[in-house]
Formats: sequence, structure tokens, C-alpha cells
Amino acid sequence: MTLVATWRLPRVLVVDDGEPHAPIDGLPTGTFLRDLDLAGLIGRASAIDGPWAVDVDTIRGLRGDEAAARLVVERLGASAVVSRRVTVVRAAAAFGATGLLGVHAFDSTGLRRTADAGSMPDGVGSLLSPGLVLPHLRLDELELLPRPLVVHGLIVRPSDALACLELADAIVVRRDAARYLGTALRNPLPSLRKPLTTIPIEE
Amino acid sequence: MTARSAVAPGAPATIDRSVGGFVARLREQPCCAAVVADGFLDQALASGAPIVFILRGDGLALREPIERIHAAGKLAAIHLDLVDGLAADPHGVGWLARSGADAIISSQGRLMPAIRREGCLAIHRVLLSRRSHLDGAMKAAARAAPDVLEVLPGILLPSITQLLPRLGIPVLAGGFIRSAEDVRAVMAAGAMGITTSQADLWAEPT
Repeated sequence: MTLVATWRLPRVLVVDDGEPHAPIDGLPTGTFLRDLDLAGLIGRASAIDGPWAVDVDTIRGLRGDEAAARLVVERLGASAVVSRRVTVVRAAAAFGATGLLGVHAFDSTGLRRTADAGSMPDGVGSLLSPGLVLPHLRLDELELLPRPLVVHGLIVRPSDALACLELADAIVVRRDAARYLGTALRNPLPSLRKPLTTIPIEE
Repeated sequence: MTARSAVAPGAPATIDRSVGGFVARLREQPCCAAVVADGFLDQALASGAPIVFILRGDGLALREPIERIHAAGKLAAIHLDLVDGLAADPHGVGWLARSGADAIISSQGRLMPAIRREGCLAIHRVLLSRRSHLDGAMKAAARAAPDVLEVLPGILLPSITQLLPRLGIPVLAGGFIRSAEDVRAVMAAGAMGITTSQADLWAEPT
């Protein structure tokens, strides 16, 4: 029997920047933790209000193994766990979180080789990076990626975020991009198409 | 432009390996053939692609394919990190140079000086995955001082060009470029050329 993972987080995850969580009007969000050391992860996990996901491969001091999955899910309360290691995401799923296998998509050949290597396990989803390639994938490439599918990386413009949301279960964006997306979604779509492409980008 | 020995060991005297020569070929035909599987080479040799990028295969047995590429009047660029059998180190670079490679590609910036010392064009492949890595990746690319930068996924270049610093190095774009329209958009965003495994683009005029 094929195991299917489910997505229980909001469809927009905001990269944690260490600031207090400020809700974005009209846009339910979760938090995405990355690039921390272990003590920092523990501190942020206890401070975050709401569901969160973590990329354990970027947590300094944490080995990517089953013990790490147990820590972030059972002790710290992660709802989703990202790793490029199959054992970690499988363990996270076994502990009750959504496991997301990290998949890089720099070209079609590399993406297909990853899938052909048989590293896409049942019962876990995938996190694709850079997420901005998602609208450029063909259907047969999209089908290589296990669901739930979350995308992450280089999604800056609201139009790009919306295009990704049409195909993915969730997106990961920085706070500035999430704010612009919130603004975009609060407006009726027909009048929104043009402003979407002209909202300034904060850098 | 970087001065470079004009002729590779084993290469016909007519093949110009300078950066200027590389760029001149791209100006005539910007779509380069990325050979990712056995059987693609014949198609690449018969195409209008000016440069053949070997991204798969036995790195220890490239002399004959490179000779065929030269015989077809094309340049041979070999991806050191992706071919089998070679370490991504200066010795691997030396092997490819002696096999006749005109250009060597690597994601490892530290190898760029070794590639240039061997008289080959140094192509630094930069993988773009997220915004917070862009700065570091581009600074590293600038430090590595390659002759040519290859950016993947190239299809994203039009969307992220405002995030990339101008390095004054010719840029190739590769990855998910599938149509003539994609080629035009990526070129308009600043790419000098395209690397693609999509054979119908290898002779695509722009």
C-alpha cells in the first residue's frame, strides 16, 4: 500500500528572521526555520506562535538522523521537517510530522536523475528549490515530486508566489514577499493583475 | 579579454580557445549543445551548436569524443564535476586539458586558476537556489575570476536579473530552457549564450 503524506500547515510559510511574529492581514501563515544553530533553534521554536517547519540540514550542530527528527518533532513541536536525507524525513513522518524531502531542480536532467535514483520514498512529501522553477516544470516533471509539494527559494514577486501557489501545496517566502502577497490577495484578482507586476521589491 | 594560448593540445590549429573566440561563436549561435547521455553526441555534432558541453560520460575516455567535436569545427567544454572517473581537483583538470578540452566547467571556484593555467577556458557553474545565497555565490564567483559564468537554472534569469550583480563576465544560462521564446527572454536578461540538452534548440536562430 502506498503511504500518502498530508499537509496540515498554512499554504504560506514565512522564513523566520528572528523578529517577533507579526500576522499578515488576510494571509494565514506558518513559520519556516533555517540557518540557525541548535541553541537558536530551541529558542526560536519556543518563541514561535503557530505551526512551523524546519530545514534540519541547515541547523548547525544537529546531525541529520533519526534523533534529530525526534527532537524537532516530539520535543520542539515541528509540524514539518525538511531534509535531503530520506531517513530523516521518514523518521519525522513516523513521529507524526510531515516529512519533506529536499529536492534541487537546477535543470531537467538533474531533476530526473534524482527521481530515477529511487530516492523519492512513500509517505513523505517534497520541498523543491529553487521554488521559482515550479511554473517552468512540465507535467511529467511535476509528477516526479511526491506530495505534499512545498517550494522554496527565489520567490520574490507576488505574481511568482501566486503562480507557485497554483501548483504547490505551500510556498516558503521571506516576510517582505509575504506582505506583498497579502496585499495582493486582499484585492480582487481582475484589478490586481497589473499592480502585481509593479509592486516594488525590497532588498 | 583574457589572452590565452590559441591552440589546445590535440586540437586543430584553426580552433580559437580565447574568451574572445568563445564569445564570437556565441554571437553567431548562442545555443550550445549539452550532451547528457550517450547518443546525443552525434546529434550535437550534426547541429549548428558552436560549442558542445559534455555533462556525462567517462571522463577517462574523452580524447576520442573531443577529437570528433574538433573535427566538426566546434569547441569542447567538459564538466569536471559531472563526468565519471575524475576527481574535481587540479589533477583532474590536467587530465581533461591533456585530453584536448577547450573549456572546463566546475562549480568549484578554487579550480578556476588551475583550469586557466592549463590553457583552457574556465567556466564557473553557479547554482542559484535561494535569495540569501545569491550574494555569497556571486562574491565567490567574482573571487574565482572565471572566464565565463554559467548560471542554473537559467530559465530564472529574467525573473532574478535585478538581484544579480554585474560581474563583467560573459554569462551562460542553462536549465529548463525549452523554447525559442525562452531563449530570447534569457538572452534579453543578459545571457551571452544558452546551454541546453533540448536538441531542437541547438540550431535555433535568435
